[in-house]
Amino acid sequence: MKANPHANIKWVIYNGNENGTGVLQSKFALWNRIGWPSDAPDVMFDSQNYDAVQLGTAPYNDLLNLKNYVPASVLKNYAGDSMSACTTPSGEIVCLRNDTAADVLWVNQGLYTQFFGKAPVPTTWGGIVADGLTIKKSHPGYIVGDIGDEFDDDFIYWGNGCPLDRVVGPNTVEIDPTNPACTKIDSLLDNSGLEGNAITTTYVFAAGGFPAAKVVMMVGPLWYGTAVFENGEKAPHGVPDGTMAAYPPPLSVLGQPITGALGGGLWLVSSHSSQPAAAAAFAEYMSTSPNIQNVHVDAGLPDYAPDQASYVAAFGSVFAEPATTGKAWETAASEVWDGWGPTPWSTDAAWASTVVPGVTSTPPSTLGKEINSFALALANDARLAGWTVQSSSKCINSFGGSGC
Amino acid sequence: MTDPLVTVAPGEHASARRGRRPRWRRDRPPAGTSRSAGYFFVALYVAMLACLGVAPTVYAISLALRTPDGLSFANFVNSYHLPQFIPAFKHVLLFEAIWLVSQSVLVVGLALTVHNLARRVSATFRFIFYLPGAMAGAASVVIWLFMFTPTTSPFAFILHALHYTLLANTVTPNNLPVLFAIMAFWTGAGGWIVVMHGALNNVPTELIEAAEIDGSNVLQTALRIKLPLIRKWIVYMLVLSFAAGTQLFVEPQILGIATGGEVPPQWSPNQLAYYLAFQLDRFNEAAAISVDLLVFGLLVAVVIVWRGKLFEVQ
Repeated sequence: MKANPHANIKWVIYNGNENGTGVLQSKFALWNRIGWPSDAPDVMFDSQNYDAVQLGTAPYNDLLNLKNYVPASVLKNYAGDSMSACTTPSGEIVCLRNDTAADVLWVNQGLYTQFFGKAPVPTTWGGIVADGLTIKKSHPGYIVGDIGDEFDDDFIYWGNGCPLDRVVGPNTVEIDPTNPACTKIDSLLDNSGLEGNAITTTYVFAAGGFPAAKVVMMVGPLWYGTAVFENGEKAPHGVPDGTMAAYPPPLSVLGQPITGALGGGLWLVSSHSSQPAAAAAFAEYMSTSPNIQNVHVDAGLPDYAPDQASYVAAFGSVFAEPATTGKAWETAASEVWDGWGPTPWSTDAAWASTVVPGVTSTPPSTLGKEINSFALALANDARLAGWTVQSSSKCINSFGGSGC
Repeated sequence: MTDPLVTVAPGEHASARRGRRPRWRRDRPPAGTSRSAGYFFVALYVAMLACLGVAPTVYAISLALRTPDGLSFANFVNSYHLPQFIPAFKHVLLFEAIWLVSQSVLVVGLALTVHNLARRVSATFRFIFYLPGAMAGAASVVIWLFMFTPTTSPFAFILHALHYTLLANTVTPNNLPVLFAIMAFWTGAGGWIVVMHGALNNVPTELIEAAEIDGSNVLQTALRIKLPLIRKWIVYMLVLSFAAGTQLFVEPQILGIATGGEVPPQWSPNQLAYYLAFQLDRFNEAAAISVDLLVFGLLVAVVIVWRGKLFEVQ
């Protein structure tokens, strides 16, 4: 405000989840037809991660290219490859990331020490499954993972580098369920015998409450710490502050240090703003200023790397092992795989309509059985949006899924 | 004996836009009213029909025919080839089949039963049947969300018997036509029972008495005397319900948002059109799908009316 005293920026926070509610798309589509009103917002905060590239390219073209307003030195300080969600195929930067929601391995430090003593926390999915087998035998009822939510594709497939949403060219996406990254994680989880018990199928936001106190470890985004586990509820639906610690996410099944992510917000600047420089400056301020990106203001780790150190230093006793947790958060933020999106459809919605009914039914289906219908739903969404689908899977390449 | 004025059915499926308009039938104006009052009301109706019915339809048709290369049917062809197009129509036709058959049987059955009850009892039941339809479409969907969730449903015993423990289990893709048929029945049946009751009131009492004298019991009177005489009303119900059903939108849309996408956002043709327009900014193809629905509804209405001889005077 001090730097731009005459700017009167209108900024709005929009709802959004990864399930394709499309609030901004419908507003922009209408405004593009009738003309943008003078009171349309200049800056928007949006948590639907694939929105920026869709709204910044044809047929919308409604977002400002921030490359012309934000210094390159600032732009390259965002964690890892996370700005890929903001980069259009032609190289324009159409958003700034607010926070990162990278997946980490959450561990209930007390339970882990109780069950496994001084053994180091697993660093691979195989290690998690091995611990799960031990727990299933000796301590049934405890949990090492969850496959019952509509966003689990973000941990299981994105986090393992399975190309089901990989942009390989302008309007071209690779959707290949036969890729070894996909088949390996599926067989690892399906053959573990843990699905339905130690790998639960309960929603983390289930109406009846999620048994957070039974979680020994779980791969999940860093905001799970205070939203799902230490959520203020009494046991067994919540654990007290200082119980959970975050560890670096497991390596992918092919050994790569990558992880998925779930959420995080984007700052979008409208290209129809009457004061683009001020609006861009505002967005840059909100995304990078330590005044905003701090623990007491914003609930997510800043995606802007220089702000991360002071953010994690302010944890206090919220988490167990704050130093490890902070380091794990920063590491995960830099490891988010850039091979998942951004595409103008919701992968979580496709997962919800294909895999979730299967794995939560009685008797439950397996990931390996459902991956083709998941991939086919994604391919249909891609073709509906006018994209070309590249795949070596016969199922995906056949019309109407006749080859599945 | 004059036929009464035909009124538009109350309790119409609140999420539907109108299909065919009913036509006014009058033999002569009631004594004491001038013709100009009649013209005035009809003029109002025509004005609203022009602005809110005809104009949007013409706009949709013009959008649908407009392509970057001039007027052609390209949008219709392109939308037909979308992977979600045929499945959407299949979903809605299956839903319509389940819904229309069950609604016809149950509405006519209940109307016939209610008609035989004593006046006050009958009126009470008609009111109770009508109540669910008084709720706007979106509100009734929220109520059904509770009914379908095993942890909050008063019918949990049914859901548990089917091994459903989560809302996600109830709302699996294969169940959707049945679920929407249940929801549509719940909101629409009451109004149609009231309409059928009105139709039954027009069955001449002499006919019923004559039948009873001839030894017909209640069931035979209902099936052989009353039912054929309200056939036109059943046809009327079918036409309007079919048209409303093809436009199914609110229920799958809200159920989809509530389940995080388990009901795909392009499940019904109307949803597909909405998605094309408001997610992908492709209004022309969306308009083509809307015109498809319009033509489809009109064709079916024409067939039903013609075969059901709706406008013949007995």
